[in-house]
Amino acid sequence: MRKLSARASQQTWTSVSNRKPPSVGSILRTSLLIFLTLIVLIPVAWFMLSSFKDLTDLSARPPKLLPTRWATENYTEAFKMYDYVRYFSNSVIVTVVATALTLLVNSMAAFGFAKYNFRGRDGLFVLTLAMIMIPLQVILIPIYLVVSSLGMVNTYWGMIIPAAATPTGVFVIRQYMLTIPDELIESARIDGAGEFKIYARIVMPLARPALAVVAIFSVLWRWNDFLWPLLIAQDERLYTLPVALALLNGQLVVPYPVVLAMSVMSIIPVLLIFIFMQRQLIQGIAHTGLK
Amino acid sequence: MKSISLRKIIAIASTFVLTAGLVATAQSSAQADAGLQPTANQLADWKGKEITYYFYNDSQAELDTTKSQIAAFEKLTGAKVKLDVIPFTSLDQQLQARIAAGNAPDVARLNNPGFYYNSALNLETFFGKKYVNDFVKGSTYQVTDPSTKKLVGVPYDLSMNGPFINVDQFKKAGVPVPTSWNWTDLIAAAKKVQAANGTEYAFAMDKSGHRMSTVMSQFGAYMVDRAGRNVLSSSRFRATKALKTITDLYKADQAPRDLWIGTGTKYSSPVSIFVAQQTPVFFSGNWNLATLARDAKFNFQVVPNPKELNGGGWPGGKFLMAFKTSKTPDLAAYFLYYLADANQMEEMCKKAFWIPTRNDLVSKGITYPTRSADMEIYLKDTAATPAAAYGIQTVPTVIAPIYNKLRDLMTEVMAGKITAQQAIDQQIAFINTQLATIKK
Amino acid sequence: MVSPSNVTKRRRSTFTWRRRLVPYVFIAPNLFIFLTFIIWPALRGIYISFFDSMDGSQFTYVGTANYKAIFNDPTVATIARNTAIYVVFYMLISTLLSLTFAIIINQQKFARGFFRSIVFLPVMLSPIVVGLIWNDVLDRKVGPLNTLLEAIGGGSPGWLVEPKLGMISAIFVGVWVHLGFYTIILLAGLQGIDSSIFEAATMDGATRWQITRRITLPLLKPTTLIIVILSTIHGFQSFDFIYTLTGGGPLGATTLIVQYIYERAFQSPIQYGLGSAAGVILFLIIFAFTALNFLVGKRREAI
Repeated sequence: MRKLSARASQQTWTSVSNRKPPSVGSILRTSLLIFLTLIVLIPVAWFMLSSFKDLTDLSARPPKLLPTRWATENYTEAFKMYDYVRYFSNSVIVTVVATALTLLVNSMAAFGFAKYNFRGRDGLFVLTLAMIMIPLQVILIPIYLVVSSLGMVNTYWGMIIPAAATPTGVFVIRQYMLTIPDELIESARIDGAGEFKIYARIVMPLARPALAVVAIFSVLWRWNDFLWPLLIAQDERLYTLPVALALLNGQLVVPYPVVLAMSVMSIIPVLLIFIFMQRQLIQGIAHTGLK
Repeated sequence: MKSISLRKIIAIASTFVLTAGLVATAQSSAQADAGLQPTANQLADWKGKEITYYFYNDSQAELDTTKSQIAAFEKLTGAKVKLDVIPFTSLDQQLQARIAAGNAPDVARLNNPGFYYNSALNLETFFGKKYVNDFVKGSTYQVTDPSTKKLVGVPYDLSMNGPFINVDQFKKAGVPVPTSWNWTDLIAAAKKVQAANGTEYAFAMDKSGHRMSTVMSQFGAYMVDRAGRNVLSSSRFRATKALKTITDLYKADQAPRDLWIGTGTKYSSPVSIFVAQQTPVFFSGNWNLATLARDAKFNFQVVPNPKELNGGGWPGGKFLMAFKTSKTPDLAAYFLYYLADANQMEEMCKKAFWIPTRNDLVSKGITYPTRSADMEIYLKDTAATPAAAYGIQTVPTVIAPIYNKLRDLMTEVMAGKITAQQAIDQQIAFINTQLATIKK
Repeated sequence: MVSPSNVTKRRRSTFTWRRRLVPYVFIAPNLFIFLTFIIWPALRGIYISFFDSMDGSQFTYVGTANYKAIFNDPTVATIARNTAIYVVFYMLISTLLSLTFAIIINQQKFARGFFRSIVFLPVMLSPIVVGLIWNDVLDRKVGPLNTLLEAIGGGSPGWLVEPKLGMISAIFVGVWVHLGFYTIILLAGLQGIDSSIFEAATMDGATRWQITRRITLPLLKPTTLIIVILSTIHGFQSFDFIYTLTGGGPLGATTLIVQYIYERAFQSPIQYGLGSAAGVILFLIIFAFTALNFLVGKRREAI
């Protein structure tokens, strides 16, 4: 009763536009969001501007906001130094195939863990989880040895397969699948549907938000991954974009402006992918038939 | 991991030796000719085979020249060479991984030969015991296996440390380009030029214990002698003086303090600061000459190293090694031989401003098409470098940690945490522990 | 002749047999990749930790010497302390901020997609790019941050050159990079909450804050636990962007344990055994923390 009267008194405020005054909460919320936007956009925008500056501008003190001269040669140099098109397409191939594989393998495992009771389930799940905890640098050399003994060094599959079984992916999808009601699955079984069909036709569509999340993560991890491809790809033909960037950055004399330009170029595809997938994400979430 | 049988090695070696006979004459003739030639049998053997060359480059010129030399080699032998270009900072990391997995490259250009003694081919079995005499004395220490005393690689280029100056800025400040000076002169000149031009810094040096050793050598201090002994303790005072000279500049922010301190254990070079004309003096070495020649939009020049007790600079270098796991060891060895041959090395020196490591080229002298005055100075400094400077190269397995520790101690001095004296004392102790790890 | 009872029995027996096998089939591909490419190499890593190796092909047995060396190394004590500080702050701040922003963005009606993209943008940058950006922005002399601060009279702190400030910068950048990751997970969790609950509560006159505190947060517990666990793990594993940002400096202030491992394996003097031993220790620590988080979460009915 108390709450109702509070609301009522709000509505008796006299205002010209007949709109409710912003509450403290909404002011706080808006300011936080604005702060977030600024703190994300400003450094990135600064970075992008810097990629058009030449060396003298970059070391100017105090720093200049806009370049005195738009040093587009930073970008053309990058193209000249390295076979950008090839590295780009390699990145695309590895990212796309790896993401598809990851989604398939992780969702199957998540389904197994979420919707079945079997011996060793909890133990295996904890094991899966434990895998997140191993830092890559520690097992880098041993993984390399394994991959090499399988003859997968310097191949696309060598770059794609080892990291496909992401524990985080299994974790997230399973957590989401837990919320899918068992009754849906049981009724499908009674109707005579096979297990795989249940997985493919019923559970997967319902798990779309989680899948979208894992897909986006996978795209990001693979696109930006450089430690592993650097080790596996021994042929320039297989280099991905981050490897090329690491090459530039790791030279004895770093061509800093070119590095900046290449970095900006490597961001743009992911940006586009995310903007595109973001709509899918929204749609996926909107179509959740969990009622 | 495949290993070559001894019998096969002897068979290969004898084919080379039989056809050789030209090794001795190559050194004496004014025009260095091709030296060893492969036999018809070998050529037939090699046709269509592929070897991998693991390579990194300091400048575009090096990459381009390597590519053209490879093309010529392929024509010569009918074999193929796959060029793997690696970033300098992941050099050892990747090479170690490949060796561990059994797919090491056939030939590699590298920095720390001390790690690879066990995996490298003994070049004496291919080119004879006298091959080592082709190269400047002292430059082969790091590629001589200390346990077997055999030559397992060749010095590919000798690098020499020394200062660059911004000639335009010196002129504006009315400071003449030095032809000989000491550190007091250098610092005074640098500060004067800084004031006259309003640059951010007066001085900048690569963040490296290797560069610091140059200064120490000029003050008469060394860390390891040619018998592999710790001699820093006997030159403590001079070493402290040298260290203080540099760290004082950094502490006062007259040298790029932030760049040094803020990069942790990573290598950083203030070359871009020099190119941006924010420091009139840049203490580095000849590997930067090609890039500066291309990128500097002002007049710059190499000047002689300052002379305190000693003159000269400090040597460094890169090496070529061929690996035991190669499927065609004789082809790999010959590729190495070819790259280090007088003709190829001369070409590389001219194009990439390298200093030669071969005796024949050093005595003949190299005419550099551009920037010959600069290279003159480097060569003079190379000749003036005291023999003691090569001492540390006799303990290749601990060179890197010793340099890195020196660098880290310098960071602490610059941040005001310890004094230069304490830094040197700690360095002495550290060198002792490092030397103790060397298995005799 | 097939009688109804026979048919049901047979269908039921093949049914249950298939049912029992099926889950294994589902988890098999994932498990196979794990075993081959993570578990087996990890076991090898453990094995190597009892040896000393300078090149990855020759090993000398040293027993527990590596472990002893690590426990007796004074620099390891500093590294452990640095890592602990980093993880605690990183985890707390990340969890708090991601919860805040997830709830706010979820409540947002206008331009929700925009804010979702904004918060996620840093996640899309590679560690090299992140290091480059913040090296530039936080530069003491030519960085825009200090230029701004000086203009309003705040001096120009050495963000990347003073040890304490270096740690603060590392934590800040770490949170900045990963915030979107955790927020998106929480957003997906929020989407899973039936909106009719909110409608009913609003109709009952509950304020936004009350809804958040009494309904949203409790329902988000499982997802929040994921965030706590993940951020702890990520905190312990932080290396890439920190290394690009500060190289572990200034003066070792941001050198965390993975950098220690990295340097043992990839910088001279190479000591694979030592690096592997440190890796084993790190793994055990992470495992302990995760188990702790998991158990506490279970107690609080988050699982």
